[in-house]
Amino acid sequence: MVDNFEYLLDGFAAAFIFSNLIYGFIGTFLGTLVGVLPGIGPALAIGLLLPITLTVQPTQALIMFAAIYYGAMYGGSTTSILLNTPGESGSVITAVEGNKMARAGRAGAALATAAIGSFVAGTIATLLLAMAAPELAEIALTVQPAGFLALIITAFATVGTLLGSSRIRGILSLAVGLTVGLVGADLQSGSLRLTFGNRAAIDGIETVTVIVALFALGEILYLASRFRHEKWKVIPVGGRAMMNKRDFKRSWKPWLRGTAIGFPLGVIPAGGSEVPTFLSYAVENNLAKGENKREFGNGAIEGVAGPEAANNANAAGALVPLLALGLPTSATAAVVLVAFQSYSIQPGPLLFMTNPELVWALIASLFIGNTLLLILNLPFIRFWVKLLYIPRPYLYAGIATFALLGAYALNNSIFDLQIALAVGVVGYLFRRFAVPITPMVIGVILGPLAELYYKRALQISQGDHGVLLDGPLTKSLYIMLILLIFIPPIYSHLRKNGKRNSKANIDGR
Amino acid sequence: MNKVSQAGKGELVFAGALFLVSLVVFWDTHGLVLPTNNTVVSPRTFPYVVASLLMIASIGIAIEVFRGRAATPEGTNSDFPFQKADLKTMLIIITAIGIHTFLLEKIGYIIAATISFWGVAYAFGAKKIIKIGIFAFFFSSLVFFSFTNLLDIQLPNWIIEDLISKVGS
Repeated sequence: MVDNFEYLLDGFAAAFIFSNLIYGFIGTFLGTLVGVLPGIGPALAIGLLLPITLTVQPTQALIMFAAIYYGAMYGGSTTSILLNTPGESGSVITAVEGNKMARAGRAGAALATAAIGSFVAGTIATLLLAMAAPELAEIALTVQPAGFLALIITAFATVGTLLGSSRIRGILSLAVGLTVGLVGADLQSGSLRLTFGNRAAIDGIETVTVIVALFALGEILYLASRFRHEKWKVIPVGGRAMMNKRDFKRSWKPWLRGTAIGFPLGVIPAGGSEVPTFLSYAVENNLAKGENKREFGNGAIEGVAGPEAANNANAAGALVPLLALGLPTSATAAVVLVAFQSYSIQPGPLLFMTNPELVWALIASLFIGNTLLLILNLPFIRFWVKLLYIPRPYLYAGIATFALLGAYALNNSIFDLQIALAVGVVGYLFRRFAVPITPMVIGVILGPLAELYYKRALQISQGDHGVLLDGPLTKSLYIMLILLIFIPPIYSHLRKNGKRNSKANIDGR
Repeated sequence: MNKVSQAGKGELVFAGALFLVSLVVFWDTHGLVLPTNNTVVSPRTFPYVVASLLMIASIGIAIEVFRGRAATPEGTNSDFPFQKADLKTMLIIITAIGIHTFLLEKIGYIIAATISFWGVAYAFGAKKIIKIGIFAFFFSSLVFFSFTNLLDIQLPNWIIEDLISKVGS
């Protein structure tokens, strides 16, 4: 524990060098800039900005990522409040109450509570991250391949079944992702899968290409398919992005509650930021009394403060399994993993031993990025709002240009561009048929890893499948999984029956 | 069984296509050339699992549609029902990106990116096509210049790129 604190101080020392602070500043600026653009969430923002960080040193790149990460999240909430087009699932709830507040002329207060709430939640959650991740990494060192496989399968199940409108669509998304992950040479045997004689496919499909194409090109195609029916109205910010005393009084508890809900749900793979933000909203709605309660649905500040805090704490929580286990549990964490890998850094339990300075520089940068964000962004809110007035043809053409550049520049390969176009069409179809996108991203990234751990486990046991259920960790994970899969349908079935019975009772009376 | 709506039919085609993909994965896996050295786990095992999952999920979607539970697309609800997709707009964008992909390494980044920018902007209803063309050209040149000169990321060169690099240096 004392060691960790010293490491953290070293991390701060590394991050506080002037040139590194500049990178943090650039990251915050770019992250907010890209995050404010409608339709761009944090995952895509990092994906699009990846080429820019390719040429700097690893530590500086990590500092930039941390700043981009929080910057993009903050930018996203601005867009949801003023434009009602949430860039990612975590901002959907913010859009509900935030946009209503803006319509009622309280945009400034909504933006302020979102920003300060994000800062409070981000700071507390990063602190928890700094305490939890090393401990978890230490435990993780003792986990066997079969345990890792069980963890990955749990992540698949939770991400696949908790997101989106129906379980089967989540599973479909996951399956498509796993299929994309199959492409290329098998790591162990070298057998070529699904390459169809294409040499460029042997190395597999680039994850960043998939992410950028799914989120950017898929979104653009989806918007194109319906843009003639859409209306688009930016709500002007009257006055400054400020809260009065009463707003503050109504906000601070939701911030803390949101953090308490968001962080743990980020650490366990509970399927991204949808669940915690909805949960936080429900809690605030239930706890509100009197006049405040009546405001819910018409722009209650608690309904912005809580979910925004939950969203940010959740994002920091998702970094715990990412750093300690190497397992991304959200689309954004998945992109961060890819960003690490582009520097040949493999997150996981060993990272704390092999590259502690990098991890702690990252954690320190998260603190700094979060603070820079608050200092830089609230006073300059008018500048960011101007971005929302970019005419749509230019905006989408610009996003497409950077998406294509990002897809190509990583490997200088035309094959990647062809894949991007194909995946873009898949992204459109997913949106059209209400298939959630995150499970696919998780499938692409964790699929090959699942196979690797499966093979390792069986090599150790020399082909005995019993090893997959060995040990308390695997057993408890699989039991949890079975409960997770079977309880909700049984519960809803019972409830339906119950309703029918009570109806029968009433009818029979 | 409920009557399948027009949108539901589209979803059935989507599920059918993914079902076909799962068959392709089965077929490809079946034809894998196995390594001569003995491995504990065959490289076929995992793909078979994935293909089965994909197949089951695509059948599951089809069943959902037949039960009358077709998808409600993102951003739509009873107030904003889903309208028929604007295929023309989409096709213009796909064509623009396709041309970009095809021409990029043949005529350099700037013209390829100008074409794709112009195409997407046009698809999204930009009226002043000449103005957009000029803007697209300057925008692409700026992107090219800043990525190659400031960030050391190489992008495909052609005559125009050489000219711009000379002016810049």
